[in-house]
Amino acid sequence: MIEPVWLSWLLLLFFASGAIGVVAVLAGVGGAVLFVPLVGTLLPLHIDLVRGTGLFVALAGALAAAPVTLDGSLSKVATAIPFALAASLGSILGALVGVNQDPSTVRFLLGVLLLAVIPITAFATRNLADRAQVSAEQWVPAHRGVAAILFLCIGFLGGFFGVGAGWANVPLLVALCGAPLRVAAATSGLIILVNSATASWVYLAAGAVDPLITIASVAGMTFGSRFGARLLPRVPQGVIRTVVLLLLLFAALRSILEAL
Amino acid sequence: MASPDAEYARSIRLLFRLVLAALIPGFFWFLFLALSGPTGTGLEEAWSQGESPFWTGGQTPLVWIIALPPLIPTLSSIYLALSFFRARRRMMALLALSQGGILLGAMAILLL
Repeated sequence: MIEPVWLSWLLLLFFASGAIGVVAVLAGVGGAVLFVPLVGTLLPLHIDLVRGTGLFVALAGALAAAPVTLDGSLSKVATAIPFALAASLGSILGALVGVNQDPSTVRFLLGVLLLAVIPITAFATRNLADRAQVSAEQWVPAHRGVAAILFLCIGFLGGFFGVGAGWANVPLLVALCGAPLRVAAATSGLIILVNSATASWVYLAAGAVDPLITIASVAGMTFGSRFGARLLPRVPQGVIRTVVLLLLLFAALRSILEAL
Repeated sequence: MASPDAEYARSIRLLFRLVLAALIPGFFWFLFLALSGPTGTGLEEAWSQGESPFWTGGQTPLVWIIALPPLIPTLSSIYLALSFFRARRRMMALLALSQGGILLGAMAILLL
């Protein structure tokens, strides 16, 4: 063990975030939805600090991806803004309610949320074939009013739990709004960019963001994601996806058991 | 004239690079503070209890560096609103301004 002990925690956090970054890219899921439950259960850090960092992890991923998807015409600001507005209102509410909550309550609810995320990740996204071959330019979102209400709810969950909520955004954009899968993923990134930033301010105000923890995690995740992107053509995604689902199940059960 | 999408992408890319350039040396500064000063004492306990010693005790005003990443979408949204306004898309400019307003409102929670 390295002395002082927190230094070894920091190193562990960097490498754990790197590993999560690799796995997240290979499995096609967001980094924060893996980061918050796994780091929250494996390291003895307070859940508020983990959630605050989770938002920065989601934000950093969205900041890196947004210019690329916008330049590549995979997403349009005009279609994302109304949904981002609804999601950011939800996320500020979620963060205000969630921050400084009793850690046991948060862990229990996080476990329950993960039990809902697992079937969505396992089945919904797998069955989301591109229904229409349209570009981001041609795509006009359907059912905008209902979608905005649902984005408000998703934003609330994102702010409460410190996750980006791409796991919910993408199926919603495809299934309800009729977006092609790649356009949905890119648009989800633009939404996450705004709602994770909004919730971050609340966590910052509560002092629930530690610079050492946050920068080490974001750096680890960034390196891991880049490495994962290089491995992508060589690794069977089905196997990785199963591993991720098992990890989420482990984190869900452990969160619930810890809370009880 | 570049499209609002292109201008938004450009502003995010530029600000993200600037923020990364500040965060990397910032990390080593926080590490130095924690290793050499009282900040590092009991850090494990503080982290377990959900406290960041960098925010309390006024050790360093540089802790505000960590507030830079969420500032990027805030500033970019306002820039986006201006881009839409220049492109005479007033409704979109209003929506972008609302987005910036929500982000500024959330930021005000930190400042108040």
